Amino acid sequence: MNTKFNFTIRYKIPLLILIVIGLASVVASLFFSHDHGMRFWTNFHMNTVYIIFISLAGMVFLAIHSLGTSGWQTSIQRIPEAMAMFLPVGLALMLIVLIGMWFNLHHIFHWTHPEPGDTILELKKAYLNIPFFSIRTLFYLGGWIFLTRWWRNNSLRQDANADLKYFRKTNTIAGIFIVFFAITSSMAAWDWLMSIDPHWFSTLYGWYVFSGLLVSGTAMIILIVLVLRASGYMPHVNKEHLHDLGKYLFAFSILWAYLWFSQYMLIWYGNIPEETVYFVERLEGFNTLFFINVGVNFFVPFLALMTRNSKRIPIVLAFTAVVVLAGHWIDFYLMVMPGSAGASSKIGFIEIGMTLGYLGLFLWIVFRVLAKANLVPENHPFFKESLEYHTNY
Amino acid sequence: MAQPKYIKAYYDYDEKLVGSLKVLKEKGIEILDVLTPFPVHGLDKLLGYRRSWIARVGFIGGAIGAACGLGFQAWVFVKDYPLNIGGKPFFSLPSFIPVTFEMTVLFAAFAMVFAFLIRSKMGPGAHPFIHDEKITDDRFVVLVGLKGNTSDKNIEGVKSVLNGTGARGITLKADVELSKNY
Amino acid sequence: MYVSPIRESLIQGNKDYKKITDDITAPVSQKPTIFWFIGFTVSSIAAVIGIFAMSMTIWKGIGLWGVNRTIGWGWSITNLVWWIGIGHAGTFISAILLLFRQKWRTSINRSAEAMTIFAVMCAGVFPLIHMGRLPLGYFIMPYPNTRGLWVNFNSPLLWDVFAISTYFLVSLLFWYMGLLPDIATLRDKVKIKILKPVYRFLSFGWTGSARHWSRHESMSLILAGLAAPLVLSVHSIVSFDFATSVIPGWHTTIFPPYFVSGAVFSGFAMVLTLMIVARKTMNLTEYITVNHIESMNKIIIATGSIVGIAYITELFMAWYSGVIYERFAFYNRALGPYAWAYWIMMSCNVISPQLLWFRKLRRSVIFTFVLSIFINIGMWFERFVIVVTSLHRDYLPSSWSMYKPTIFEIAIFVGTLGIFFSLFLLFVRFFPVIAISEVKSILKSSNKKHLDKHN
Repeated sequence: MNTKFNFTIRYKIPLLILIVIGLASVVASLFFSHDHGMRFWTNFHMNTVYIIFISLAGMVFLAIHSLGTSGWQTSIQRIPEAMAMFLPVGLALMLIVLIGMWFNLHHIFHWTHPEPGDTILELKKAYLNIPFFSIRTLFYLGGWIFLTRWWRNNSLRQDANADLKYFRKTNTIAGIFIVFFAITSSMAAWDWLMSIDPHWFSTLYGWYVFSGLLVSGTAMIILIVLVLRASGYMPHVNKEHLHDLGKYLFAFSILWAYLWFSQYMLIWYGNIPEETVYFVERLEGFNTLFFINVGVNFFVPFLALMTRNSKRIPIVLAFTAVVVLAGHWIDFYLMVMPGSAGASSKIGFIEIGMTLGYLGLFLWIVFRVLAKANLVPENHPFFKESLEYHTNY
Repeated sequence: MAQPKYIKAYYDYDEKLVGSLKVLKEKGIEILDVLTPFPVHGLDKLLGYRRSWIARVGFIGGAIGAACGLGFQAWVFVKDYPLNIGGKPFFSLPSFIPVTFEMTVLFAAFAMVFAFLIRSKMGPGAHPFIHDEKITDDRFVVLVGLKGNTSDKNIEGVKSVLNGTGARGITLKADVELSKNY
Repeated sequence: MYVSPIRESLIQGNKDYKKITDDITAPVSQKPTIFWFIGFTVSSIAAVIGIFAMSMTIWKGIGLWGVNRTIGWGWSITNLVWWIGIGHAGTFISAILLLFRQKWRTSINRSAEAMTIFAVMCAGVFPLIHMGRLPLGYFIMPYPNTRGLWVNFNSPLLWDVFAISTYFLVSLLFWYMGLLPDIATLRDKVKIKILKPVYRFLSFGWTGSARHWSRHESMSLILAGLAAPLVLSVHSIVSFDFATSVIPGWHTTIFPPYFVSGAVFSGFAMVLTLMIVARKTMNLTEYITVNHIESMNKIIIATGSIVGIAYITELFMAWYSGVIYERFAFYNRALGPYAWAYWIMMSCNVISPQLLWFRKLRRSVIFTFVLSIFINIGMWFERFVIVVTSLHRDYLPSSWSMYKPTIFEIAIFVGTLGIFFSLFLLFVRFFPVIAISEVKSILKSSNKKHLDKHN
């Protein structure tokens, strides 16, 4: 079965439009910003981290399924693979943030310029300083890029040669990746997001961000699968595959809500000021968004995807995926903005435009990668299972 | 009063069972029941069973549980005997979530189990007629109806169709009133 | 459905449906082995010792224990959390693995569910007897009374009452509903005169009708869908007992998912301990294969690694927070008077399961058995470290004290082990250890001989 994706003009035009909107928004944000380009920098950082995590989620999906000796996902696995290939672009974008830090172009992170007498930041100086921060960022992204590249090359070699040794390699790569990921994803969350509120801390934070990554990644996979399917590209993807993806979206949304609740309730209950200040800031300055965040990200997928049938209807899946991606964008907004731009942050055309630009860029890269190889890994030993996929329940 | 007659037969394998049922359906033979040692894939569809409404019972049970849980806690802490616990508000929603969630699950689970047992006429002390002791071992039993036509010609006809599909132990029975509603 | 030929077979040997029935009902039809009698005697003795110690505690009071200011919770709460944690594997195997369509669960789910019920019963002993005035134990239930008083819905200890009760009842329902078709098999198969009417009563009138199977499948799937979040919620609520407080080492947001992972981790270790013995003594090695053991080991290494990462996160965050009390709490755990407990915990929970990255060890029955015991010991020490070290030294140095269990607390714990193993041995004597009908349903797709025929 040789299906190749053609990255034609039909796809390129809308994506180019999105990218142009993004660039225009970037320029506008630099001009319409009264606070040393804060509007540009905070949005840039927020969108960069969000898109990096969505991209990374593709590899997480692959690794977990590989270690679980799962077969059904092989029909669609080229899509999360392509998503993970965006990471080098993510690194380039993150480098811009780092350069901004080194040349004092932005104040996203208050710990880069601590006030004298701030004992809390003094105590964290060994960790929160620009050189170490930069090395860590490069380490995370470097490691992720190396491991996803390794996976991709192995996967492509399997296309050419059905020898089982490539299949066995996938488990090795998956195992190394998942351990490296488990440690670095939490650290990246602490560095890139939690340290924006440097006087605050939460042990759950890394896992909370991870759950958001799982949800957003799954939503993105669903959308890309549905788009390809609608264009006639993946005829073997049947209701069963969609059902399973829908189950993931449902379950991971509940997982995210559970972790959101755990973090919030425990800090609320203990009522210790150095912890509650985080939520007080959000409840007072970002009240509507705060409740939209938990409401939309829990109730919409929960109610929309509860019944068995709903998870088999493409339009319902697509709608829920879009809502979830927007909802988790709000989650990132609430993680980044209050501690950096604070009261001056807003959601306007510039914010939406920049996000659209990132989406366009991301999908451009994903489609380009998809076009480079067979859409299905036909030599994968579990592929036949996925091709004739039907289940008892 | 004479019990209506029916024919009992069995198969050794689930594939044989499913294939044969298709043949029987094509020939317009009435299938009263199929009894198996484990749930056979595809049987539901073949026999025209609609998907169970047990899920809806579970959902309703859960909704009742949630309403009861949240409602009761709210009433106790806001109306009946408000207490200042650690300075938290009387309607402390985060505190109420755990119990509400547990009540939801508890009510949903019990609702479904009771619905299942009642609808299937099962329960402690239930004494149904056991058609074959080997159903729970390795036999796939089919009970075929005669649509009221108990002439020898019809009976022989049905028996020969069953024979053709590879059924074994084909016997005419009349020992129990087979209720349609179970 | 097509099954890839490189998948390992889950049912080994030349089996058909009849053989499956015979193999699994054999231990019920025959007299138990000498191992069973020895095991039952030992565990009964332990249970009796425990019940004696519990009675003494109820009669004379909690003063018989070593708990005092400021360490109000010691062995009893450690044991409570340990037992509930163990129970989680049963529901995980039944519910979550069902949702993930993992066919290998069919050989172990019945025993694991039974284990859950017995573990939760043992867990329930501790909140009851540690209250002191047990005859007034019904106070924890919200019932209308002449004082107009209700329970404190703001308290995680009360949330526990609801969580553990719900968990026990739903697990019981799930176990029993799944057991119905298999009890019917026993009803029809077993020839022992005195048992037949018992099984007939217990089978609730199961006939095997396709309509019943259809409803049964729907019900099981939704019960699984309910039980899955229930598993997460119960141990999260147990973790809230600690995390809603304000003391360092307890008040930390990672507790809910960390406790849940730890619970699944220790639960699977206990399932392995039980199943490795059962498969050998009951001749079920062709159903509980090395492939099953390997799959369980994969879950152990996953959850064990999550627990390890949680430890490292806590350590890092204690330093990162800059809060001197947080920093000291962890310094004290590693280097203070209870450091020996901390390092037993670290080596058993973090280091030892990492050996399972090696395929040879994952598939070694003996290594797995030894490891499973170490993990359960390690997880007991984890709860001991959390409970005792945070209480023995918190904010005020003048309140610092030490805790040592008395013979009664130790005896009660040994007693619960006795109760647990006695109940489990009774279960394997009178009920099928493996889900007969479920294993039959995967025969065609999981047994080499049948797969070759099909493909």
